[in-house]
Amino acid sequence: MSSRGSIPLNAIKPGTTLFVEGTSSDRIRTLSLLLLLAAKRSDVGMLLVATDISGDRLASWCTRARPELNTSNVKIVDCTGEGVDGSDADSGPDAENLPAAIEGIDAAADDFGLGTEHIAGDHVDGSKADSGVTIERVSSVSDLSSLGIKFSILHENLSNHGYDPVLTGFISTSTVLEEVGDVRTVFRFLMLASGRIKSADGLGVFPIDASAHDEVTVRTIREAFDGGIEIREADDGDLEFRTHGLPDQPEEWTPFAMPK
Amino acid sequence: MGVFEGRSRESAAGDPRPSPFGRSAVLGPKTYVGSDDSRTVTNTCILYADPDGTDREEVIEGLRADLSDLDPTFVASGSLADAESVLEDRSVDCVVTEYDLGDGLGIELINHARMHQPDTGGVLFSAVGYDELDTAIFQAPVTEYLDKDSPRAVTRLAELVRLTITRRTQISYPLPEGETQRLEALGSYDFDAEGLQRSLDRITELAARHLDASNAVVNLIEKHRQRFLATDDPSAAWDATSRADSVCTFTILDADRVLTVEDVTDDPRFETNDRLLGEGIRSYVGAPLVTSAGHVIGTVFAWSERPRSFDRADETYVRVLAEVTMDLIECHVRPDERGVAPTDGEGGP
Repeated sequence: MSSRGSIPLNAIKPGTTLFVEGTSSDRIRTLSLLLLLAAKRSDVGMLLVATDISGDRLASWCTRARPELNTSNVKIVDCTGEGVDGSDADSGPDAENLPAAIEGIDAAADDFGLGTEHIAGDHVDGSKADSGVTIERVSSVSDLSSLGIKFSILHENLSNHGYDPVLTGFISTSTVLEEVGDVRTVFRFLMLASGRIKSADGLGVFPIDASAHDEVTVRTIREAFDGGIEIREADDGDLEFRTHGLPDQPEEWTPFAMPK
Repeated sequence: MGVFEGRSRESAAGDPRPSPFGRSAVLGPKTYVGSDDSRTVTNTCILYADPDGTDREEVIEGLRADLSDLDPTFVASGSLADAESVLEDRSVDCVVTEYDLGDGLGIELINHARMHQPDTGGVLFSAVGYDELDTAIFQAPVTEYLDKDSPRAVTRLAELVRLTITRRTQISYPLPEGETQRLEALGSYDFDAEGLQRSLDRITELAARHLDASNAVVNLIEKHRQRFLATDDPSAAWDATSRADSVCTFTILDADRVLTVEDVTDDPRFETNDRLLGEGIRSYVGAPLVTSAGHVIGTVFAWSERPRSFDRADETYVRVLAEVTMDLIECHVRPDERGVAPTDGEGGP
């Protein structure tokens, strides 16, 4: 475990699902993607569910952040309702800030589990590059039935092609909560996704913007996962994190550096 | 159907029944249902709905082989109507269904299952591709999906069914830590012991009177449902209700905390819970029943038909009553069959 301007986390055990909670949707989204992109092995598959930023932008972000990413291993479910040309819907809150956020990622990503490697802080101009990532679309985040089925199909597909583990990110879980509204339905959906991820010894990352929900909702949704990482801004402006329910990880508030 | 040949057959009611197309048939170990829910031992039950008789036969054979350690009972149905009737009669842990059932859709069946048995898992097992699926029905359910034509389809199906049943991956509420041990603890008490009921009724009378509540209850939280053990209302004959619809489901998550809800319509966990409002439950205070080993087996709670707050003294009072209640229950540990995990009887989850 090193602390060179990164989050000093020990390796995360395969078969873990975790929330990444904070009050900046941009920050928790970036950290969640860093966790997933930090995996070194070429046989790793990645399944991203894009709810508040289009699948095209997410794909572009990933490939720019990690140019050596094997895009044939990556699948995205785009639930934003945005068309292929990106003209049909808002790209989501803070989407334009993503390119800047990846500068300096190399430091932050250095110690995430499942093996890490240097991730280039290349500048991204936000254009929809032809990433080569497979993007499937679901009409709406609120259609959890379709989303669940699509998620199952793609997760199964990656596993059947021998990708092991399959790393999964819901970018962002908060949007699902906001759009669906019913905590019980969202909880069932997250339990289903979490169960699939755990049974395949994968890693699931579910960013939650705590400022977008009441405390009871956040506390309830947390229960769908094995544990999580909580991030806050300290009084002096520095960032701190602590973990919940994750073995051998810092449970006290611990300073860390994050790309601005 | 060939799958039923040479094997014992039994309907949900225990009558031998052939398995013609479109009729359900039960196949598997006998289901034991006793008069006392906490002592009930019910086998895992899997409902498989598919109009194709050959597929029914092959899939159930495969599942039976792969899930033999769960010792499940299989119920086969060839239509939506027949499958729905099965759900009226018996507890089902997981519904596996084709997409098109002839007289309706598999997702309608899963929806129907969740209405009656909210904890039931659903797996859509079909060769119908995503683009052909119609999920536009009202409140389409969250469900697993597996392509029937995929490699090792039945083996994968068995894995998904196992996951759904054993890890309870399709429930809509959190489980407390040590759920298995909690259920074992619940099964170790004799709730029918002479005198216990009378004592618990008095405790609920105290709670209701002191808190000026509409009702007070001693409640047990079983695997899929909550059972009302005692109440201050002697005329009440409340049926057990789903754990998914219970406020107490959340009370048992924390052994150290009294849960209060001033207004269920303002709480994101309950605001869509029509059943609570239907029963007139608007505000709630409940304390966990914690065994000497630290397992939460139920609650003592009081509720009112109007929004209201409960102060610290109210919480303390309910907590003390819960401790007294647990002391009484601890006097009635079953001398035999310790560690038998209770499940729910027919009608649940």
